[in-house]
Amino acid sequence: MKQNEPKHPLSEETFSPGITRTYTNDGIDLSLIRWMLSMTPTQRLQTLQNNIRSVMRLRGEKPTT
Amino acid sequence: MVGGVCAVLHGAPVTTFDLDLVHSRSSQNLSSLMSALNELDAFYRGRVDQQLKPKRSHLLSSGHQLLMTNAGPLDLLGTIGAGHTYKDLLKHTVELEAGGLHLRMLNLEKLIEIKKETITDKDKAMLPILQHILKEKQKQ
Repeated sequence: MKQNEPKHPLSEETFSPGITRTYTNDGIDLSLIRWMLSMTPTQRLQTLQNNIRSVMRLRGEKPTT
Repeated sequence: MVGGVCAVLHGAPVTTFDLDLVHSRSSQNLSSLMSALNELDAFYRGRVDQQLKPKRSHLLSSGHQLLMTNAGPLDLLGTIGAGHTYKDLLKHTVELEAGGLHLRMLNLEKLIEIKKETITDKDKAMLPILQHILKEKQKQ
């Protein structure tokens, strides 16, 4: 983000108490990070495997495992 | 385990297709690794003309072996960042159980440190995500 550019009201840098930050000014989606952190390592691995399978299916490729 | 899958296990909301491993280059481990690679039908990625299979001497090097296996892409890394070996990284790892597997992966702090050392475009994109995960974990 350029300097002096107005910050989004819900961004990390302009966060005020009572409002949950959803993303940072460098574009990181904190809601996704919190979602991943709410999972167990096995669930995170499962999410990754599901994503890979979906992408491969969309590409018309056969998933390896 | 290092790289993208390690980042996902730490909580990074990213998708990655290859498994990055820094392997021990001890004689005993190379024998185990060669046997696993044979079972996985591993060959070097990106060679259209021939399927070149990794050899023990390749795994002994400090370089990166970018392989395709019947379970997906696998990168075996002799060293990472500024020349860190398996032995150097061992004290910066955590063990966990995931998906019925016993895994050893780089801790988040060291993963961030290594990403800073090897700042490719891919690492540039991952670094702020890892730093925010660390911040979120420190709040918990």
